[in-house]
Amino acid sequence: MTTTPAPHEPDAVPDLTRRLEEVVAVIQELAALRFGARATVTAASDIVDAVAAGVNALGEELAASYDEIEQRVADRTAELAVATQELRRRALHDDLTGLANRTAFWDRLAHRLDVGDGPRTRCAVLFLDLDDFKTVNDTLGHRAGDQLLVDVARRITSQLRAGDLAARVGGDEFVVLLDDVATADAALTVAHRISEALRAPHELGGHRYTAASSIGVAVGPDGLDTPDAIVAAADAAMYDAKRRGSDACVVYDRERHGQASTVDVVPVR
Amino acid sequence: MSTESTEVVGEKFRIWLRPDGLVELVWAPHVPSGLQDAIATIEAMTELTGGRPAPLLVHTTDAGPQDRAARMEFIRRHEVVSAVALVVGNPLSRMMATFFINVSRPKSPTALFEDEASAVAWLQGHLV
Repeated sequence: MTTTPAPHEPDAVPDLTRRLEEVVAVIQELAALRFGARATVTAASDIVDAVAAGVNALGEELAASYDEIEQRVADRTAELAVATQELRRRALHDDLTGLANRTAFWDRLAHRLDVGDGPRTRCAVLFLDLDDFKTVNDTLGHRAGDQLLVDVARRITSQLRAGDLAARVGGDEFVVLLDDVATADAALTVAHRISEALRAPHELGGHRYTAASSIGVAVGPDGLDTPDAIVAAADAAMYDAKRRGSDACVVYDRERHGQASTVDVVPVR
Repeated sequence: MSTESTEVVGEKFRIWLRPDGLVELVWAPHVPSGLQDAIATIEAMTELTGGRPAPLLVHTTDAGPQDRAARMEFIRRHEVVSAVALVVGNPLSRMMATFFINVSRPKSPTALFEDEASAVAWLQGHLV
């Protein structure tokens, strides 16, 4: 602490002015959010010192409040980022199976068809529908039905490569994008592999259940250059597979299945 | 820091236990104090009282300014006091005491006094 002239001394007024000017300067610093500024407090402990110490103390409180607000903003921003991430996940994923949902699948497929490099790089869509899924719900209950869907999702995914994508688009309907396939036969091979993987018994609440499926396969982009067109084609082939009996896999053929242009997808419950 | 059974002298303070059960604290004249000083003071008080809350008489007239960290530490460790009387005697000490009471808002009963006798009388009502 410094000393200051007594009020009756000749230097008292100029000194008082100087001390008050310093306090004013500190106030200006604090107003500019430079919270490190401090006024000198002298040993006189007089009214100017009281003002100086009060300004200093207010500056400290201001800094603490500012830090607290910044911390709160940072905390809320972090919470918002987590919530946004969760919303995005929910918007693009099927809650039950964790697979992509229709929106995510269509986006990815559209992108794949947009960036495709003509006939040299083909992709394929598999449309898979479980056979007799309703029976599972009716006889074993919805919990068992849900467990079967989760199991099916896991087994489909286990048959895919890193660039492929599986999605659940309806109650018991799944679609798969095979990102890079050489021929329709190659895509059909994957479909058979998935079908076989699903046939292995599922444990559903103490019951063993063998799931059969019908799978339609459509290869693009040859004439199937939009997501709706290629999925509709795979859907048409899947219905053909259903007609042929349980556990069939069928490749879309325009001559046999006609011009497929739209597909109706049952919303996931 | 030197210690006796009823008095502790720190770098910037002296604190002692009075026969009437009050604890009395005097700060070194015109020396600013901070967090470490607050911690040392609280430790000293705990040593004198054995950790039981006691009324604290603080002479602030000649004390230097105390920073926010120190004020917050005194509030955080409020369990060591049953009440605090701040005796003031000039504009600076009056302002600091008022600021402590009104802005920092201590959890223990805390009051400002212009004379020691009134402070002691008030604290005696807070003997535990």
